[in-house]
Amino acid sequence: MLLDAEQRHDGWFKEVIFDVCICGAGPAGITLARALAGKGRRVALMEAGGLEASAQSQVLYQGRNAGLPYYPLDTCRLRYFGGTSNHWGGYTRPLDARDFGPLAQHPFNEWPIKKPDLDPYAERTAEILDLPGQQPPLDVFGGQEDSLEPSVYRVSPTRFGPKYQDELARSDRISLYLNANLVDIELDSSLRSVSGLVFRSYLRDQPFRVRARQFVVCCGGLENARLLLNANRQLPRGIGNQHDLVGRFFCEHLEIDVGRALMASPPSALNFYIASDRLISDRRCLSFEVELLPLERTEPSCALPFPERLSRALLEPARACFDAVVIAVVGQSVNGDSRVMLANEVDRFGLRRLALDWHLADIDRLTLRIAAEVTGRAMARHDAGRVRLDPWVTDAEQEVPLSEEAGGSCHHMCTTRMSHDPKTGVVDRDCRVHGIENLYMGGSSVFASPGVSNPTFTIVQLALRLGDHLDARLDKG
Amino acid sequence: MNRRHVLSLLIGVFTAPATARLPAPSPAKARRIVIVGGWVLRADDLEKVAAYAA
Repeated sequence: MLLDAEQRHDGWFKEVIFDVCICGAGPAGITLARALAGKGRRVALMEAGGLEASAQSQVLYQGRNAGLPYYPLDTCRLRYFGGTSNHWGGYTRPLDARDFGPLAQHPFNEWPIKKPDLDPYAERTAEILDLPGQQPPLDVFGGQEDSLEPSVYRVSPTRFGPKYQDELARSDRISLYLNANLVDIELDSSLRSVSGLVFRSYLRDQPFRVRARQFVVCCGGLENARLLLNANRQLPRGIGNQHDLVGRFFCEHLEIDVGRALMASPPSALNFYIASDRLISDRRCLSFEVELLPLERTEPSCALPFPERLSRALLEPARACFDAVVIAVVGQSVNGDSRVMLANEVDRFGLRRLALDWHLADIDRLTLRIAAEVTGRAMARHDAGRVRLDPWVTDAEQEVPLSEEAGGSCHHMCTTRMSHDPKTGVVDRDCRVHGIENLYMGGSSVFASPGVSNPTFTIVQLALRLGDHLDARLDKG
Repeated sequence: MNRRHVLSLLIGVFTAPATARLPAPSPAKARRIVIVGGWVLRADDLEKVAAYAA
């Protein structure tokens, strides 16, 4: 059932207690709603935007960058039905086993769950994302390089909104409400249980409450933290924030050009490589990925044989004919100083806007430089090509080049990170907010650490797993 | 600034006259990797470039 909160009347919510109320209709929220409906559960799926992008909704994502240079906060993500899947690139794959940690040189990256906990959901995730069959990876090293292992992404064409709109509209189990902006999370008198979520639409001042037995917030890696911090009417520090952790540990996938490659056989498509376990152990760095992005080659000298092209490039660097950009991707270390906070400015609903204080640690910078150097060495060792490193890579005095247009991947992770211990994370292994019986978080905010893979595959796996957990809990009463 | 001058700046250590009569590099030298002027090269690349410049 598809409903517009602008058209609501009093009878809509007064007598209804849903099994689950999900806030946010992006990949996590839609997947979770469908999973629960498939088990016979009655679900309210609350979407802050409409079916299409709109200025009145998108402007609510505006915020302030208080740390390292970063994209404007209202451009990385989309606030309407289908969420950020409306503009994602689609490159996706699951996390690797080692991404769940712990890593000797960064033990705080450990998840309380492991890859086998998510593997049972991989096949359904691939179906949901309409992933094509796995292709063998491209490898310019011919399988001979120990430090870099060829990897592969599959590309999803799926936009969750268009794909699932009709199904949700037809569903007699899911009530999808558009233009419903979460403005408060109400706790009962024990302050340990959510009694209802409070929403407002754009054109009507009167708020409305949705009641349910279980509640899930799936509004994205930045917004999930912002909403918990803003829910401070009953708990002054915000919900789930008893240890000042909500919003901390903000992580990104650094995605940085580190050099240009001149290659013996120019790549025909994007190549991916991941660092080997041994390399990560030997160099005491983080896990990383290297991409070789083919360049359009227009210089006349590009037609020359490789040895001659290399000689000319060394002699006349300005006219060098490069074949690929070398890009390093690093899931940054989990760092409490890197955080989402509340700004002093408020939005039209009175919620304080977002302030992002993004920071890197030395191991993040080190890993980017190692990724560049290792790729260059592998290219030369196997005579696959030669890499010219960007100047900042070899000059430790220079900062990693970040800007409002480049440097991150718009992957917002770990702001309500998962941990057994409430002193090191906001949610438990089931994505339940520590200290609150019936409030859960969905999406990449629950990642304990970012890993290297793009996050959407894992987001969908976690949503399916949460569906099983909630179904079991509802059975218990 | 001629090509050889550019090359000498680039590799820093270039001093030998470049001729086609340079001995073939040893396999060990070919495997040795050096980072020169931001380039990640095999050691014998420098000799090949010198020969090309000549």
